[in-house]
Amino acid sequence: MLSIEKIEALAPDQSSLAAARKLLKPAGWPTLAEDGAGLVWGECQGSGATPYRVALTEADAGYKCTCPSRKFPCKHALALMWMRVEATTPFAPGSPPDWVSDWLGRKRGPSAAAKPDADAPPKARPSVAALGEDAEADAPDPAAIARAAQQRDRNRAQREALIGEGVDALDRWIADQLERGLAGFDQRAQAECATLARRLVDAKAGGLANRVEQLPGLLFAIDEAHRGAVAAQQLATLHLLASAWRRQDRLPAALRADLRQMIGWTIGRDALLADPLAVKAAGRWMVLATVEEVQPDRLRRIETWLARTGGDEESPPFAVLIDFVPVSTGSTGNAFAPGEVIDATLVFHPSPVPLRALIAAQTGGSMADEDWQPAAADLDAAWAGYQSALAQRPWLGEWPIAARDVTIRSAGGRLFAVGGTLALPLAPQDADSAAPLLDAGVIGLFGLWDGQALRPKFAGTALGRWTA
Amino acid sequence: MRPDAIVAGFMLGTARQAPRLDGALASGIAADDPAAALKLLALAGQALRFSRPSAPPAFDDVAGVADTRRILSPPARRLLLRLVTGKGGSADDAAARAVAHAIARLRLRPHPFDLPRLGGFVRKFAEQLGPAALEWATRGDGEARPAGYFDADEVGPDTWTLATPARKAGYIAGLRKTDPAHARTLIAAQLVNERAEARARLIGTLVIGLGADDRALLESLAADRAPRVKDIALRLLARLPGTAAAEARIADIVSRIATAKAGLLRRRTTLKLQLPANIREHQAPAWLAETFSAVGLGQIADALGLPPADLVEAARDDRHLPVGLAFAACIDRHFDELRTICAGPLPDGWTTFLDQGLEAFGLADAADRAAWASATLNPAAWQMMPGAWQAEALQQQLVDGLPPAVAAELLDSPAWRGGTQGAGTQGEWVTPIAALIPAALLPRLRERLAALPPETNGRALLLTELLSLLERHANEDPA
Repeated sequence: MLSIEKIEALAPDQSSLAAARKLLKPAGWPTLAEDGAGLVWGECQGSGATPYRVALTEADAGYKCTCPSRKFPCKHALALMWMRVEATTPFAPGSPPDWVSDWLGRKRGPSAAAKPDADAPPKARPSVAALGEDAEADAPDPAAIARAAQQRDRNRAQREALIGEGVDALDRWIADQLERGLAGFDQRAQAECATLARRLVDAKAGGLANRVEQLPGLLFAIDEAHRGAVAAQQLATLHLLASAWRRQDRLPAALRADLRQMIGWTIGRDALLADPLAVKAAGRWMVLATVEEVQPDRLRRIETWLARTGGDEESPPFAVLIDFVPVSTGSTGNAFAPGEVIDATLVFHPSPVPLRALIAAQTGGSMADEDWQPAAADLDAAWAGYQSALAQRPWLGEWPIAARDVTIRSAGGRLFAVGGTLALPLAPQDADSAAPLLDAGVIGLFGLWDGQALRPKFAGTALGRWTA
Repeated sequence: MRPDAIVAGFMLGTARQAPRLDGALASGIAADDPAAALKLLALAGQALRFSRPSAPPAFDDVAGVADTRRILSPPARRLLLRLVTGKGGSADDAAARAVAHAIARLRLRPHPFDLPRLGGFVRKFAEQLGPAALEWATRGDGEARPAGYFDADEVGPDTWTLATPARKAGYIAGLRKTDPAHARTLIAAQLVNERAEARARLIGTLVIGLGADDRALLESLAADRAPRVKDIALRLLARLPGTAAAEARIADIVSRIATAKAGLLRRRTTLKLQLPANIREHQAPAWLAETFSAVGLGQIADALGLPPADLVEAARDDRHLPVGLAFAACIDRHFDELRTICAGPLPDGWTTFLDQGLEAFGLADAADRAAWASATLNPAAWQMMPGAWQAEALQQQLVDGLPPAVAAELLDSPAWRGGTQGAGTQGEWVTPIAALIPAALLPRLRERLAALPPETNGRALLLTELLSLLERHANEDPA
């Protein structure tokens, strides 16, 4: 069984124990549950958009956490064990959710390789008792705080100036490409975009740099006949961003905040929670899609797309939670699976069309049995929603399209989502996975429209739920 | 100007062709604006993003496949995905074969939405997973099939020639059991259209109900340009009594068997087989299989003037002859004699059969293979569980599973109880052996698996759980 001594023995170092102790407050754990037979699980709200999921078997101290930490066990697993040993925090009885059962199904027995090497030299073991000595060092120094604030202001002004130079360079580069012609742009894009991206990274405009660096891959993923037109649209959006940056003082507050995020400014969790511009929406949210993509900056971008199925009708109908994990930590997978339902308050990043969000507070979650159908809207209405969003946010990226009464049909070797007066082409890379929908009849479809093609992600059909 | 025309104007480059600042989009741009091209591009690009994508002039008419099998239940879907995809999953091992076979037997089918995810598994076992899976797996293979081809779960008289070689052979094999002459006529007509592999499979089905009427066709194939086809035809000819090939093969075998007497009080006949001088020890099983798989035990016994049971008894002290006689006993279904051989001088005889494959001995259908298993497998006497290769090969040959009595004996055998403790074994046998256990014994199998170390039983437990779900689902009332 678990004990403080066992936790000390498992902890990889003293700092892990210290970090775990900070997580012992039940408020940071929207879910804490047990099955009554030694299986314990919980969800811990970290700094990311989605909570980390931790499962634990008490008998053999087996654990699993979705965080990207390289320490095993991580602070979340240690904290869960610790709460269990202290027994001051209630764990709700229940049957394990799918993500716990799935882990349990794959879990191996205790490994012989984990036994300590008897010949290894002794080293100081992490100790709970030793944590008391570090607590006093946490007292804040007002002078240091003021110095740090001044330094932040200086850095901010310096960065604004650098970005200004960067967007000027971006416009010159686009004008140069137009002068040379867009017909051969795809052939020179790899080298040219890499050079410009480096310049934009130097100018502290990381968001723009990523966008530019992804451009060659985007072009090569589509057929040659359409590359020129797509390149023109992408360059047009980049110029829009550059122009908007120069005039940001004249933009509405939400659009300005959105623009700054697009350029590369980040906003921390605490700052977002305190931001008066940020929309907060409490309700029931269903996970419709998870998307993972490795960015050029070697970060894995993990998107979780949610649809509101209950709560305030005036709040945004869709949300996307975005987390970034270093690729070098290995794939951690997404904490959520399509079909899951969470009861949560989301806080949206400021934008004229709020979409990106993070979970401010979660009160529950489960795997939904019912099939999802979009709110009453056909494909034409969904398209009108897209156009409205594009009008409010000109640099709109992927946009959720959800519609009832859609059929998937084929023509000329491609698949189309057909409904109302509209036929949206599906992305060629989704042709295989979406092919079964050809026989599914009339469906409710959720997908992501990137301006060229729809990537189907979730469908409610007579045959049940379809996920990409 | 339309937005797409403006964008097209940028293809050549503004150095060659200055942008035209006319039309509604360019109305707010001054001609002398140094950023005129950029502004025009931004406006045109944005206008294109607002435009509706063009629809194709007509859509294809796709007729779905009428698959009447029941779709797997949601829990079974999840387990199947875990078993054949993802971490530690395999789409081509004993567990996958057992599941595909159970799905076929119970007339179930994978959920259509799972077909892309099950990828390799569906392609490998498409013929067992129902018409919809078969249609999905054969998409884009270039074969033109008539409308409604996939609707029937089994191929019929009108469609068998369009099927895969395995399905063609399966159809003809079924026909051979009821109407050998008609099946032979169909084979003869179809051979000219087939490649060597398919010809070999079709001719191989003649082993079922082989008779004198097949002689003419086999003789015409004895000169086939494909060595494999020729070889099969000659082997089958050698089994037909009265043919020159059969006489020559019997004469050759008898000439290699030396007869003697042994015993002091009770003189008994003993037989000894003389291998050809150029056959080395490790080549002996292959030579024995080739030589003895063309004649029946009864033919050899007749030639030697001994009853079959006495022939087996007389050969028991020889090193090689019992192996040959075991092969020959399979040919003419002398399973009692085969059991005597495997209970006596050849306790591991079943492994020798696996090296050659049961098809080589004419064991084509499930009933014959079950009889072979009952005769050759004696798990109660096993010292240890089979190795990974042997277990896999056994499961591959017995996809219908072990006969219940043999399976029950296996689960209670001392070898099972000590199965993962022997030197050099890490329980690789567990999954293939579990895949051999018939449905009725699944609860007992689960108990036995639970007692094994967790690092060896994971996949087998998953398989058992899935097979139990399939059985339960198939037996539920569809309503």
